[in-house]
Amino acid sequence: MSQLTCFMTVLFLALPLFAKLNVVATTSDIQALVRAVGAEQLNLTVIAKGSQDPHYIEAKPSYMVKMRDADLLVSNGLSLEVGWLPSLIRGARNSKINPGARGFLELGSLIEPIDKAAGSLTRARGDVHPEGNPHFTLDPMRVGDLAVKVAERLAELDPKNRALYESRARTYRDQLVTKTQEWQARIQASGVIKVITYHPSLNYFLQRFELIAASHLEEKPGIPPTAQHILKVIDTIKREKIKWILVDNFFDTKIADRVAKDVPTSKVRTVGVAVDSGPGLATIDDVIEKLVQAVEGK
Amino acid sequence: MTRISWATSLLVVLFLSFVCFSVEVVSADVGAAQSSPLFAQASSQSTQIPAQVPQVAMASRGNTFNPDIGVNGLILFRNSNKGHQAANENANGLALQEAEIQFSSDVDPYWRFVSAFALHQEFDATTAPPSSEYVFEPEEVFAESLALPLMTLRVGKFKAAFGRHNLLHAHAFPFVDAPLAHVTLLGEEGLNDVGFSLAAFFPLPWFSEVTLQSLSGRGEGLEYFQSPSANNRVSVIHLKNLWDLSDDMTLEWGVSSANGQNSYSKTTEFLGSDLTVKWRASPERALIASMEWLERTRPEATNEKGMGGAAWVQYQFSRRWWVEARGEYLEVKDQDPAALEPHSEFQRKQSLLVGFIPSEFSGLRLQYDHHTDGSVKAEQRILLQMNYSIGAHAAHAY
Repeated sequence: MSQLTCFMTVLFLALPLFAKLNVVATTSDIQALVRAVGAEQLNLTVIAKGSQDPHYIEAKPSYMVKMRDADLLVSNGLSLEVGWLPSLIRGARNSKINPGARGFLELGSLIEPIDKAAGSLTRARGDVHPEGNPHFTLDPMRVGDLAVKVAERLAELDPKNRALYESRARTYRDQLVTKTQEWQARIQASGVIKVITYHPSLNYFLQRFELIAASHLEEKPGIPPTAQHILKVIDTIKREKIKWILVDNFFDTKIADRVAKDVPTSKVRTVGVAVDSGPGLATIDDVIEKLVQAVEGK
Repeated sequence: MTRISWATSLLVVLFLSFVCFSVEVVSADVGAAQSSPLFAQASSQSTQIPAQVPQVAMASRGNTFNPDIGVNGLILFRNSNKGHQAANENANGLALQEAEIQFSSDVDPYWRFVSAFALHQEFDATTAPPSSEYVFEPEEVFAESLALPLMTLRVGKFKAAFGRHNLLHAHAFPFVDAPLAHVTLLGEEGLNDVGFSLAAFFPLPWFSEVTLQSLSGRGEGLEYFQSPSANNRVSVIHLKNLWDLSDDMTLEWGVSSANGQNSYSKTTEFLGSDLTVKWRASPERALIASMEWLERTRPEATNEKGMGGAAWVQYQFSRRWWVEARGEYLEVKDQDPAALEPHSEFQRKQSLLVGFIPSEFSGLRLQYDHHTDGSVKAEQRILLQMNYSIGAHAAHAY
């Protein structure tokens, strides 16, 4: 065997040692979280962009191509992707990322969710998530804890970079703890206690920073508001002297604008609720920072 | 020496590869589990647990492992200038178009099982007066592989991968009714039969998939096959490509072929092609432009050739509202060898639809049709369809 053949054989056999992990994240928030831990050690792609409502993503076959070669699929869970992810996983024909496999990581199953549906479950209550509110990436403390869990799974799949993943995750979590204390102080200084939101997507953020959603513009999640409900919201805003109506970036502000017209002391703010949902929102920290600024009125 | 068909050979090869791969997956799972801390903990406890505990634990989980169950109901009001006759499928009035019940679940790490049964009315025009009864039939009942790499094996009764529309269940049709060409050439229930199917990706940077299917050719409504020989099966090949033109826009193109022996021991052939451009800017705005064409060559006592197609546009202009338009054409030529001229039949149909979709689980659609089929008077009809889904409902294919 010639020297060249030997060299080529060794190079071919060694290729997997240099290969990066292929990771698919279902949302831009999860992509940002995984990127904070995995950085350049990963080939990272995303399904739902920040400008898209993650409840209503269409299961495009081109997403199956992205997932076909994935070593790890990181999903939000808590039924956020229930309308589209199962068919994508089946269509990808990649048993490495089937639920239950090591290449499937559902972050929602690793946290204690809020807003778990109580009482009898029926779709007359709107687009309810029986296991709890799925928008936990707006709580920086939960995100910090999840970074550690992501590092554990990345280390299992790519043991040679274990130390790197674990140290990045710990650093990221510590940074978020520090920033959360600063954000908390700023929100307390703003004097804002109650706000109106369009959808319950901000509930984790509100709970973390001891804010209260006095009402949502949607009477039932996922169902467009009725005129009667909007009148009740207007009454609440007047009674509670609420200043801010926060509308997620993927909802129309028409209804919120109408409410603000009726109650001139209130103001409408469109807020990015996901990474890449607007300019300057490249990380989860950026998203929380902008939300804090919105509450501060900046 | 007995002749073994390509389909049988392929099935045997697939069976062996599935068995080999399942064994490999089991070994890998066990290996992975043994190296995990969780397994280490479970192993240390296992010596203290009696062997029957797993069965008891499974039984106590109640409904946890029940399959996903969904029911869909289509209620239809029809008013046509030709619908005043006695009871038949086109009679005016309110009717239950179809009720469908679906069960689906993963069986184990290797298989998923899906079953859909449909309840609908069947009419018998040969009785006086014409009679009808409700029938409950299996629409699709199949098992599908979960663990084969890069391919999906399906076995059972299913809608054949011939074009796009043939794969749809009635509640997911873009219009209230199926296109003329599909109903006339493929049959009321479409090309739906017992067999097996293998779908696999081509290793290309875009979505490119080939589906090979072998069907019995003896299913209900498949009069155009029905070979007298048990060894002759129907072969279906479907090639589907989808390109992302932008983040919001896709182009899908498919070609299909199906052929099999008919009751005259001659070959009935189908060819088809479909093209769809889809644009979705937000949950409130979408535009879909689709066309599907198919032709059937059916040499029996006469040489029949049918071809037709439909083109339609669907536009969503707000979160809950859609408007749609469709144009259709169908031509069936029947050449009797004893006759000089072929007998031809032409049909044309135009449809307009307005849809109000308050949620993912209900919809109200109003459709107007103008249908000319060579008779003196064209048919004009109004259809109002109410569509309801309860329980688990899997996402429709893109």
